Amino acid sequence: MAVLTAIITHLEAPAVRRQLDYLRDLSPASRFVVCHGGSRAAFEELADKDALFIDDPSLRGSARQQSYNAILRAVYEGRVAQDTDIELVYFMEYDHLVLASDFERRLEELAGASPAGLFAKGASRRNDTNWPHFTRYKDDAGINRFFAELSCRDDPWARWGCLGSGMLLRREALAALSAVPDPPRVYLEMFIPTVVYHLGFDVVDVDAVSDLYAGVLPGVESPAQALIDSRATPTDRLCLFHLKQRGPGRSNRKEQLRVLVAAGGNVAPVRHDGNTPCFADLPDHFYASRGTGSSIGGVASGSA
Amino acid sequence: MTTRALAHLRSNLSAVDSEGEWPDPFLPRGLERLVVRLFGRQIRCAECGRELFKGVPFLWRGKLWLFGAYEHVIRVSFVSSEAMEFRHAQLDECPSSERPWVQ
Repeated sequence: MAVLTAIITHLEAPAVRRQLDYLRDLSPASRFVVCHGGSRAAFEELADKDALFIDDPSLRGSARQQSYNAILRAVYEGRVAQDTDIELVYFMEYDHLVLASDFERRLEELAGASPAGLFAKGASRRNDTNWPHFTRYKDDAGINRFFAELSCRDDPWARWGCLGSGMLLRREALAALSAVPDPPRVYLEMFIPTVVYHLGFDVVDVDAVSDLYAGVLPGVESPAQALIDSRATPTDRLCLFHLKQRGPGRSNRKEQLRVLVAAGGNVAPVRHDGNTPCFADLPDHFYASRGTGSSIGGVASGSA
Repeated sequence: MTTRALAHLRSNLSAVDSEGEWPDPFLPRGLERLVVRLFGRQIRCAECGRELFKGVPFLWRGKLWLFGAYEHVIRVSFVSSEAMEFRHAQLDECPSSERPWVQ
């Protein structure tokens, strides 16, 4: 069961190169593909055979409007369709830090826990919640019609949500996703799990079947708790991925996913212009990439 | 070690994002916060019993507003003809025997 890891980034070429070098050193046998949503010039300077340019203006605009439709299609058509070995595709954003060299094995174990098409942190049905991405789309007639026409379920009004980084898609689910004709540009954290569900695949919360993301801390107070209250258990578990999720409620939670400062560690997430930190803020001795661009396409406040 | 940890903490605090867009406020944010601070009651998760947030219920023109809920994703449902219950929407905030790592 081969895994392809797709890195969604907008950073300048040197930063992306350092991130790739780090990942290739960490796990030499792994396959990576960069989905570059930044400037064309940065992509061309990168000149890496494992990079795809994603020409989607939604990646360069408001974070609340970001859609991964073009990314999903590019990864499937550009890498997965012709490589029948790939069974799982792991999508991670540029500020999602992989720490363990055996991360693919653990992703495969996760996929073995359920036949689901999508595994994601926080994946759940959101109809009975105050999740802002559910409430802002719930009365959109065009989007409701799209899901009603697409759905093979008995409940075409079901809306799902999940964290945008760290989604593990089974090959069949990605193929079906990328084959959806004329998908509307809807915020990815609502759109992807909802489409996968309505296409007939199960959507599973990673936390329900695995402790893979046990180290991802919810709540803005978490680092303080870890450091001051000696409640360091979650951060001690940061053996696989290094993420930061600072509470899910507000409309821009996804881009608050970031590198977490571990208890006694040497990583500090720092604002990166708008609301998106990145590898640019990591010390050189710790990690590779130090980006220079403020955000995708140089537009502040976006995230990859 | 403590000094170093506090230095990191300060760095983290500087990373706190600005307030995000609030699409449908009933009151100005500052006023709502004041109301919640003065009159807020603990709203607890029906599953784990931990506090979800401090909130103030308010009826207005056919809507039950819950000041203080905006910053938190919560699940809500009627459990009787006149009672609603609230739960964590995120499993990693709601401890259970299956998730002993949840703090």
